[in-house]
Amino acid sequence: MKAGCYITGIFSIILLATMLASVADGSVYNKYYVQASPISAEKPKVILQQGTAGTSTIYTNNTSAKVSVTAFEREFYKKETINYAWESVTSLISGSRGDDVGVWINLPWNFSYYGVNKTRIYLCSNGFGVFDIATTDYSNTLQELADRKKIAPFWDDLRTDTSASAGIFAENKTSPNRVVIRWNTTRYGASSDIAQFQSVLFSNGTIQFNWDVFVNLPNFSFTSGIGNGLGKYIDVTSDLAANKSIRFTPIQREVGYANHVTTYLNETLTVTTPLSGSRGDDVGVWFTLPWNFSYYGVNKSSIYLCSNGFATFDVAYTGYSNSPSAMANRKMIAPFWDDLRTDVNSYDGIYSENKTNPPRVVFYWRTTRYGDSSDVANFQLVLFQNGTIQFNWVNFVNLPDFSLTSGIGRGDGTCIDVTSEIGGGKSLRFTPNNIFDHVLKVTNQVTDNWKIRLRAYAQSNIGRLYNCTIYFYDGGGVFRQIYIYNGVYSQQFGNWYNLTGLSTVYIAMTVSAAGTGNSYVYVYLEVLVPGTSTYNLMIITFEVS
Amino acid sequence: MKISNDKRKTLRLLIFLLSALLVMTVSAAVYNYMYLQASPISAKTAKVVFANGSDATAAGTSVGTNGTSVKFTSMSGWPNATRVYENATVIKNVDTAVSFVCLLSRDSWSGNTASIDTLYVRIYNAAGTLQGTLDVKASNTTTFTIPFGATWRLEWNIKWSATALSTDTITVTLAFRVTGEGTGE
Repeated sequence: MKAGCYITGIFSIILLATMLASVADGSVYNKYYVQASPISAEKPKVILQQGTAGTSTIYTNNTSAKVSVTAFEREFYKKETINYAWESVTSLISGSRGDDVGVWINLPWNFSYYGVNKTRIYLCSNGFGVFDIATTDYSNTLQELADRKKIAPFWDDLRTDTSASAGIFAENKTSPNRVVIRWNTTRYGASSDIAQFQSVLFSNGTIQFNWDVFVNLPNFSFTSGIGNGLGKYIDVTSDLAANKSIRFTPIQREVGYANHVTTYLNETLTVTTPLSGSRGDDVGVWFTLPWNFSYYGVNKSSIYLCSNGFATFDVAYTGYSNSPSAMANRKMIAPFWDDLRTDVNSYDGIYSENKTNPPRVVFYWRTTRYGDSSDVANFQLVLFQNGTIQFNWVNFVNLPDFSLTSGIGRGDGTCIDVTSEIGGGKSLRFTPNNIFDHVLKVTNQVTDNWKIRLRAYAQSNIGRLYNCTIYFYDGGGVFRQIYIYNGVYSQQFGNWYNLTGLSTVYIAMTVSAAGTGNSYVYVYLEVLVPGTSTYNLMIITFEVS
Repeated sequence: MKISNDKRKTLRLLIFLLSALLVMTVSAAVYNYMYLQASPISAKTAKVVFANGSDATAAGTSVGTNGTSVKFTSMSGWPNATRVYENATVIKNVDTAVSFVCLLSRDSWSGNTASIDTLYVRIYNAAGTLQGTLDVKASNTTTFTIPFGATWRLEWNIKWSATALSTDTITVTLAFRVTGEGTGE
């Protein structure tokens, strides 16, 4: 009886507590509504497209992609032993005598080192030259060579001041154009140990080491070779011997162009008169370029501008009969090739102006169609110093009345025909692919501006990637986004890049791997609406095999 | 006077019915009155309200009168890509002393819902720490407690499938339940 009372009491307490709890927790609430209507699917405004390197798979709607590449290093130089070619060089460089000293010298021309032009080199008493950053380090390893843009014929702890004849000597020579640098050194702490050697820089990018005399060579602890500053080097330490020459010859690549519509630009010119001789019918004029312009990999110093809306290299030409095949058989850049006149209106003609930032020359045609001066064609050709070509189609009147060809011809029967792209207020760019290999293109299909960047969000087996860089390239600059060094991220996402209306940017990569296997880097391409935190995430998978 | 048996039976039945009617009438007439009074039922300022976030323009955010409802009219996405509106709207607890337990759930959705890969609504505090995730497609719920004085942001994360068409649309309605009254009620 007593137990029954307890059970009843406990049950009553639990029941009461449950009732109280439910009242306190859930009995008073407010209900709001959140409605999203409509949430719509729209056509992508920024899309991914295939590149020129690796294998890229673009998925439905061009909003995600997979890139498969094989880890490789582009070989810039071919190494070969040549006949011993010691040269006489007697001009001592001021400031080059001493211990751990160095001095900058200017080069007489742009010297292409691993594909990048250099205008000067820092010569150090410790047996090397280095670009970009002065260093006088005597401790030498292959890793340090790889981490510097260094040309090291004989890198060791040396002195250039222990005898009257010691020092660093340099002279510019011609036929072929070259700079010869000679070191006359002794080993630090033992002036009887002697090393005499040379480095020769040729204007075509070739590098040569001439090893002359070494006394007590086994006493040295040296490194010899060249480094690219990005983890790559060519080691010739074991090749070293007295009275021997070795040469690094740049490997020439097949050059082509990638063309894409870019942000429209109508270059403003300050010149008010056309080039002399550029006004007329079927006339032309030679123009000397401000620098050598590389066209399909061959430097050109002048260009022939024709009133019929094109320019040619090597040969003056004024033909008006146009076709893609005719363009292909000439070294021709034709923004708007047709039967045109440049002498109907007072302002007609071909104008030119050299500009900077970036270095470029702008040609502006103001023309009318032959036989009907009411049909107008105004357009520009821009040649950039880095080899990029751009057409700016400014404005046209009665465009359908013209019968034109537009593009660039190589002169070997091949061309890039962009006639179908023509329209007023539009620009198109040809970017030489010797500047880059790209794995993907990012194309803005609308006039809206976006900001884009890459962000790695996952990975697999990247420990074997000792040097992997993924970057944007827009024909004018490189914008690094992701960098993996020695198997770990050194940079996991990049700075925002402004993807302006109707423009294209390339995604390129360099990669080196240790050992075999597959590595994956999973990346978001973030496409941001400027000024907001509204963005799109497009998945790109990079597979490195 | 002699009454037939049939008439007698009829009379008895009539008397019985009258008696029953009398009993029923008397029973219904006995009852008790109890009064429930609510006075006043007052309108108070909402303690948890919606307001425009920094992505309000992009999302087409429209906050209702008094901040107790919100509508998004221009959210979209690209097929096979994720569209994120990080700050489509904010939720403010304007009370000075009371934290509120909030529950967010899917009330309804309609349209081309089969073309949606994922659709999340996420709540972040001012420090950017995730406080709750509503998986709209799975129709779960999420509960979080917003402290007094806090302003949290609501993020929409939309991924249309690769096969979605540019004509596809959906409508989503979420229920947002705020438990409690707050101070001054």
